[in-house]
Amino acid sequence: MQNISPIRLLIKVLLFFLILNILFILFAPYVGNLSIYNRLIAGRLRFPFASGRWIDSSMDELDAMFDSHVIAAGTKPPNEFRVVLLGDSSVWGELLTPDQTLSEQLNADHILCNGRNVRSYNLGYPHPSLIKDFVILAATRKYKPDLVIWLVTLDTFRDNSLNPFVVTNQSQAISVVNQYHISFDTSSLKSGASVWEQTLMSQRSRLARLMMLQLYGIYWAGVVPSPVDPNSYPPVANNFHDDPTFAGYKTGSDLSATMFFSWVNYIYQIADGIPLVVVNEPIFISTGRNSNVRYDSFYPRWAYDQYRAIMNSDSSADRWNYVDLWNIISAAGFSDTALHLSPVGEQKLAAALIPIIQKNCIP
Amino acid sequence: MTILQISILAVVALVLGRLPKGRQLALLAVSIFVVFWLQPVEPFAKYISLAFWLPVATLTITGLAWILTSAPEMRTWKQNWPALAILIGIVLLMDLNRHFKLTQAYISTTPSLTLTLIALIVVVAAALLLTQWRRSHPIMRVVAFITIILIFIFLKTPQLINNALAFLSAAYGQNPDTADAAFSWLGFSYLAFRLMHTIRDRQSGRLPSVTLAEYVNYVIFFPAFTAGPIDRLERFVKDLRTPLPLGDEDLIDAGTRLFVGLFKKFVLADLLAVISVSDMLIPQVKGAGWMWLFLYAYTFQIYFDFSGYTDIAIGLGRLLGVRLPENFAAPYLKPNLTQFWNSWHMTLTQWFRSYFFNPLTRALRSRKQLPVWIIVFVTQISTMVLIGLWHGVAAGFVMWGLWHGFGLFVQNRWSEFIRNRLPSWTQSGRGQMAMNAIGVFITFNYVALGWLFFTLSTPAIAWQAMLKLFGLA
Repeated sequence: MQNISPIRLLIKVLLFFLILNILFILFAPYVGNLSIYNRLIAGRLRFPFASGRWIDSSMDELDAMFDSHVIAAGTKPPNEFRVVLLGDSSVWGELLTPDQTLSEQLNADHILCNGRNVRSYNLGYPHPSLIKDFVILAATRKYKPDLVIWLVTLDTFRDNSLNPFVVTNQSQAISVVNQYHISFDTSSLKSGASVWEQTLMSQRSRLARLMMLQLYGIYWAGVVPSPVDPNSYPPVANNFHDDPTFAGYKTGSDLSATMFFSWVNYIYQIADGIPLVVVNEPIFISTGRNSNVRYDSFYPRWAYDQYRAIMNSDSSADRWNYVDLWNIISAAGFSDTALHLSPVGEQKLAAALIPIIQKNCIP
Repeated sequence: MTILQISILAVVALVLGRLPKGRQLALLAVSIFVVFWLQPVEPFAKYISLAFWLPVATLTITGLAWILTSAPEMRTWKQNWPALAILIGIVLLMDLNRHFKLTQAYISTTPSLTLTLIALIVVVAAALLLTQWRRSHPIMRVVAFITIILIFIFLKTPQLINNALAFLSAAYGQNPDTADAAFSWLGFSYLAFRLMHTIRDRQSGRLPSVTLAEYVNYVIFFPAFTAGPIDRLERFVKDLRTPLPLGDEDLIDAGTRLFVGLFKKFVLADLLAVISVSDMLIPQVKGAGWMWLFLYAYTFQIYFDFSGYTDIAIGLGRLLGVRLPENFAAPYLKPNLTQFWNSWHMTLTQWFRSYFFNPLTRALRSRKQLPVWIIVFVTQISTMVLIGLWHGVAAGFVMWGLWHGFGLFVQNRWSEFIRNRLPSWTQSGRGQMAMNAIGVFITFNYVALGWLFFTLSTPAIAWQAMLKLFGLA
């Protein structure tokens, strides 16, 4: 065997590692686009997110999220009327199998829009954040949606600037904020990564998650997820303490002073002419102890009533296409929280959305 | 072990391997520390520090086993005081972490110094008494052998562990339902096999004479402490006394082995784990094709996981100048089950062959009236069931052992039957290749199917998976 000097070998290894890192830095922006979804296996019906119940790897990197989604499969068919649903965990479908979520309940109804097949896409992603929804909508535009339905709730309009999705997709967030002159302080965000942050060493966790995402795709393709047993989680709470505060706000506070209801205008700017309907999503309305103080565990009555009043008045003033569906689902339609719907609840919500889609069906 | 822990140990091994003097004692000190360091923090940590007492128990058992297995001339104070001082010194040091609070290195919830000193005095007194009672050693060796087996059975029986945890819960006034049920005595599986090997070989007069430092180094040698391989004392001590030279090429070999091991374990095995067959997956799998894919993923996951750890152990050992035995030799490319077991977890198989299979075969053969096939059947089945039980006292492991025992028996009988009946074309080069390929295919799939019993929680779920594999469910 040839005599090898470890020092020379070490130098060669370091050199090779350096070259590998330089190459990686050059190609890093495209790594997120490497996906087996929509190529070897079908795209996902919703974004990858680890809810703790599903075998579903979390991946909140925008490119990878979209590349794994069925919306990125090929070009849009000419006879498709494309509806995208934006929102949080209630739209994503916490405790639901992909086929039980709102988008699939809509698709199951096979509705038509001027002869075109209405196809809904679930672009919800858990945890409320306006910036998150803005970034997703901006990225959705290249998939040519015909209608955007944005499901919101009072929590959507709180300051959620440190949302993990925004932290992961900082440069996209900054880009949207700058392009639409959104009054959002981006000083804590970085538009680009340092050279070290772009190296293979720094990016290894991201790479591992990307690889995991591909493998979860294989897993996902090979299983039919069993519905979640309703007995496996505690039902939505019906009794509460008489605490009337909401996120630090005391009874009677003016929510509009510090919350971000006016930011709905930005989403219309980002939609840039694509019809967009803002839907106040259903909440659980308690009948139990202290239900005179609170609607549910999230919202005291005064805060939620004020929010609805603000949304109604602002939508008229600013001409938002706004629909309030806050009370259309009965208690049996909720699963574990006041915002998560059961399959039956999703069905009812889908039934309520169909006329809204048809009303906004523009040729 | 985590990548960070392995990296730290690699650096330590590299330094120890280069020490011109005192390597044995330095290795002893590091190995003792590692026994404490890697022991998981156990339930009831706030009441009783099992993360301290279990490593102490490991060292105590090892020390007492040395007294029972060593030759009297090796038990001199002069030869062994440095090792004893290191043993006691490190135990005390670890205990004192309650004051140092270096929680990155070790827990700080250790027992009081007084309690530890009392325990050490009791252990040393017991050791001294045992040293004096030489006449009792033969019977004490039998007692020690049986005790190790009993501890082993206790640790590997979930029911017994649960009962013990429930007892502790009651003793400490905790709700048994909310008590943390995790419990593991790190490294005991391998420790037991090494101790039993030395006790048996001492009984048969084949064990070399070793000092306390050499014996403890053999039993708790840190590269192989948690996941093997199971070396033999006589071979290990040879390397320990005259460490292999660590030349440039050896260094590169060791580094390569470490790197390959890390890649196998932390990249391949961990990624394959995502799509490996599991209890939760079985009822959801779409069809037979997917089921086979998930089963093959597990088949390779367990191989990469285990052989990865072996590569890491061998690489670390090589840095220390010790050539640990190989544990795997391309097992999935073997054309029959016998060859598979000669290349899968080889050191464990060799252990069972030496201390169970061969003695049992000899015993059965001495009964001339027994036909060969019965001897083969009994020895294969019992050996494989025991290997199954080594992994845990559970129905799935018994089924896994039976599966392999039966497979080995059938293969043995088939080989006998076909020996002179093979057509001539099978003797040609291509014929042999074809036969070999068929053999590899059958063996690989037989082994893969066996993993269902191993990895799934009950034989009923494994059976469900089997039916799905063949499109019957």
